[in-house]
Amino acid sequence: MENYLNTKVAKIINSVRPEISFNQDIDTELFGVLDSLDIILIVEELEKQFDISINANQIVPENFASLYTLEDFVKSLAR
Amino acid sequence: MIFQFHGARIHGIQLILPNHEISFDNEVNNYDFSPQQSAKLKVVMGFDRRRVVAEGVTCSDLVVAGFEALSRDGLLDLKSLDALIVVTQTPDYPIPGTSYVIHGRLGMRQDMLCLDINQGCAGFVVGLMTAFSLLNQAHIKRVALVNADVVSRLVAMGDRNSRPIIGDAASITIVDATSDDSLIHGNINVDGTGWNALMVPAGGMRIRPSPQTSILKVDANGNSRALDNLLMRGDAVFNFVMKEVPPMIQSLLEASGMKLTQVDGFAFHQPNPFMLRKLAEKIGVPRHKMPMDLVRNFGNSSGVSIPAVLCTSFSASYFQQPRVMCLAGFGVGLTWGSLLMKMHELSFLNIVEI
Repeated sequence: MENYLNTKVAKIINSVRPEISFNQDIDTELFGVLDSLDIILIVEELEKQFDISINANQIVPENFASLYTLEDFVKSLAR
Repeated sequence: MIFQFHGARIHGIQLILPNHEISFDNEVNNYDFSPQQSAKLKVVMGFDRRRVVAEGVTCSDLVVAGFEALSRDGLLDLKSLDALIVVTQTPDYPIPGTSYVIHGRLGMRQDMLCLDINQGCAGFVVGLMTAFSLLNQAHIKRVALVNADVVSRLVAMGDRNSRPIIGDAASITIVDATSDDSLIHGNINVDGTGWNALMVPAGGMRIRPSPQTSILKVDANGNSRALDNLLMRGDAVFNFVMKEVPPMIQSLLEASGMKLTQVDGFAFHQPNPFMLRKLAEKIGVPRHKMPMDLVRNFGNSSGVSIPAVLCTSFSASYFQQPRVMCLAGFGVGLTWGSLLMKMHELSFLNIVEI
């Protein structure tokens, strides 16, 4: 489940920003890399692919700071 | 701040659209979006088609054409107007106000009031509140509220955040005094500390326009713009809207004693479909009651967006029976305002293209 989620979130980010590369076992910084349009597109895909609803209050830099923080955030909603 | 008005009604609304349409597909090379991003942005953000004026066309050009069409079609006698309010951020000239230019070009009556208001996305709400207040005067029976903006002329070609959504338009809303005493509820709020979230840095008295102010610079997100261009800090605006608009609607409903389910339609300012979807979810408005596709079809026309939604997503026949409408505008200032009012038997709800 962990790996599946990891792959899926990374793939969603790559579907919006293909040039971002993710390394095994190392977190990838997203803060300052994703702009507001990227975040909107990623939110839309996360909602669709994980069947979750992301509240407007949750679209904040803390949740999109890195791959790991975004995964944790998605996990908390997907439970 | 809470307001209450009575003795006023909307008589009719005319939307004026430039007939020149720009497609996102045709200008996508101006931006550095990947093909996948472009395809997604079309769906999620409504980057698709927008109406813009030709070079040199001003707000008064759109508005004069709109008034002439109303007059020609027998829908409005210009001599019946007691006041003209023009709400714009893109006036024809720094001096005088655009209301005087329109007044002069149409040969309007001399014994009337002309008033200019510099407002953007909340401009329809602010303008209507001003019109309702003027109608308390014994000699003011009819007010023409004009909302007009040609912001496309201020947006840089390489501004990937703003340019794909910005459209131009004007509207003429005729507001009449009425013996119907039903209450209109409103509220307005301002946070001037956010004045620089949406702005054009140069062109006023603080920074005069010069060759230097037209030099393009690229920001961290790849937006290319000059000091002469519109600057929108998208993150700040999004956060402000999500924080302030839902409680504003809640307090409006509380002040009116109405429930959300009693509202027939929500005509909100149209920043983009994503933001509207998130707003609707947070407020609890069913999607079918809140149109969200103005940006996709015509572009975000700032203060004109609410009357544009009324003209493009509703119909005169819809208002043959009284409808409780919630109107909300939010943006430059920062300002957020809303109105809850019955709309009924509009004499016209038209679109003209020029």
